Amino acid sequence: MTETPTGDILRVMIVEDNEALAQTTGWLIEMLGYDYRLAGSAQQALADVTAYAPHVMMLDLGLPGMNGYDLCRALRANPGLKDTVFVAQTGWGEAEHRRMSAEAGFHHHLVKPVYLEALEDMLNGIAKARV
Amino acid sequence: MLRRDGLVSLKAASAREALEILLKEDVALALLDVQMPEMDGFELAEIMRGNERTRRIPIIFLTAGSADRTRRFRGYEAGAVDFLEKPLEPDILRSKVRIFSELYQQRQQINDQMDNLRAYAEENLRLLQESRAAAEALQDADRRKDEFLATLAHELRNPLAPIRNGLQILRMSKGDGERAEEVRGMMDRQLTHLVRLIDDLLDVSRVSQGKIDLRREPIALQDAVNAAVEASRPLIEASHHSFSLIMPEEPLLVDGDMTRLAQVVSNLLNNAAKYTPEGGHVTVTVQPAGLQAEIIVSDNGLGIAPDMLPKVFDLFTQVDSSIDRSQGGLGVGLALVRKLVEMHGGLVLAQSDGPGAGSRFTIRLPQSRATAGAAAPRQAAPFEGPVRPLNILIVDDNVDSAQTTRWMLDLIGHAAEVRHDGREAIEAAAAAPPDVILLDIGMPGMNGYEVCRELRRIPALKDTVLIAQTGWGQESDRQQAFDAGFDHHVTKPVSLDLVTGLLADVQKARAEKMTGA
Repeated sequence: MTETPTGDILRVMIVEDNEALAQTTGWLIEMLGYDYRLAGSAQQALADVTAYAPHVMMLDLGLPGMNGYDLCRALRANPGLKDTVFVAQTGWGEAEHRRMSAEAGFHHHLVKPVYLEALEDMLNGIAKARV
Repeated sequence: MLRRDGLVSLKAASAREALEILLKEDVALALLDVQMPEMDGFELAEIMRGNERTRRIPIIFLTAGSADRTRRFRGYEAGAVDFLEKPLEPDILRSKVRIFSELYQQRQQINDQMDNLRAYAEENLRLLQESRAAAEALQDADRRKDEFLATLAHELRNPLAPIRNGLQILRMSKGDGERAEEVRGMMDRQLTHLVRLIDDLLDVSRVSQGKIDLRREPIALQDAVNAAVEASRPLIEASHHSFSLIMPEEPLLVDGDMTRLAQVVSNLLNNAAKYTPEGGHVTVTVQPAGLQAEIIVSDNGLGIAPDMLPKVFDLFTQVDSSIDRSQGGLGVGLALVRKLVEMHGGLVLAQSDGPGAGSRFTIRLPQSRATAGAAAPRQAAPFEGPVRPLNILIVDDNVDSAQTTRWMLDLIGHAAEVRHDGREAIEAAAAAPPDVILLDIGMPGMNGYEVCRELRRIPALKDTVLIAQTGWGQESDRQQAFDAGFDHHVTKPVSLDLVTGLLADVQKARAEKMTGA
């Protein structure tokens, strides 16, 4: 985890209240060669997002307080994040939830537990698209 | 004269008396004398016409001599159907009365039929409403089941997701280093959580089917509460809550199942920790209350809205789905609490002054009549002496389960072999009698009970310890296992600690036998 945004490495912010899941996802992202930052709540994500300027935001939909849909809408309204890719992470995989996450402005919808291959493909794709 | 024809005649000496009779009796025909003192027949007829009860009664006026045209007209106006002249001609009277009595009977029949029809219609309506209500209840149950299944899938994924991540991290890091150690610890905690979820689910289904047996004995309530506090402490500390435990020194005895009562209190404590924002306060108080003993678990957390209070103990109820979905919970914990407390002859109450005002759960149990000495904990003296590794045969059709159990036993210094079906296991055991056989019950073909009975017939295996391994831990399963000839019964997934303890007991017994011999 770096304090200031580093040049070329893909920066991923993980917003997830399940601590074990957040930490292990972070480690996986680090092992894939990318940078990560954890936020345990929507409030923390909103507070840290400007300084970190993530390329990817992975949001848990079932966050306490402000949920992932509302957080996504709030973040998408931030002009500094116009190129950021938003990924919904949730235990709910029904079509209705996918529709709701697309409506809230998410680009991807991943159902937990996430396969490493799926995560790797997605992040590699995003990294490649930036170059 | 009329009585002969099976009719009942009621006599009234005046119009007033006639009215009194008419109020009490159902009358088929009224024979009214026109000439009466006080009120004449016409006036009486008019009153009868004005009254709902009497207006349909046919009236025949009795006149002295032939009535003139105006009188007849007035009579018909008052509702007369006929006139008879006095003196009465019996045959005429009889035939007229018969006509009206038949008419009356027909009307009665029609009324009865209408009453029956009305009753049928009402009954049909009631049945329809009942079946509608039943259909609605079914629909409601169906909806709750669907909601529950979705929640269940979600809740199971919550611990599964970090476990999968952990596996992937271990794979990428080749299982070495500090991080791998951390990951293994995390996976262990998540798996424990998963097992607890499934245990709760199984418990609640067993309890609601009445399949749980309590092992009740006089116990000190303080012991059960201490065990619960021990189990819940990690969760309370993780949320940085302060915790107070207030208990009397004198043992408060109840006839209880220690494990189940600890489970009840632990469920309440876990809820208190979960539904209180970080840095809150959780208190457990144990105190006598008359002939009862009381356990109170209170917190200063989220509290419960008044409309939810009566429902919190219902199965699959979640106090606030938005909160619960992020915090985790199946809505079975409190249902289990109530059922277990009721099985102990006690009751449990939920109180809260509303959202944000904290919650307070009170359990009341009858105090035991046993004396304090009865509840003294037994403690076995630890055995110290030479031990040797045990030869263990693992029989399980699940290859992964058998293999991991074998690794576990290898790690704690025993020699284990694996067989995947009953026949092979019996052959292997007969050829080289092991010290211990760990036998899965739910195998295809020959099940564990059958294998056990066969093994018990082999003389060379008379000293072999047989341990049943099943996913079912209710008392009837245990009993069935002991009836089949098992020495022990353990529930899957088996923890390393439990197996280590069990095998240590076997080793100890073996060593004692050898030194004793």
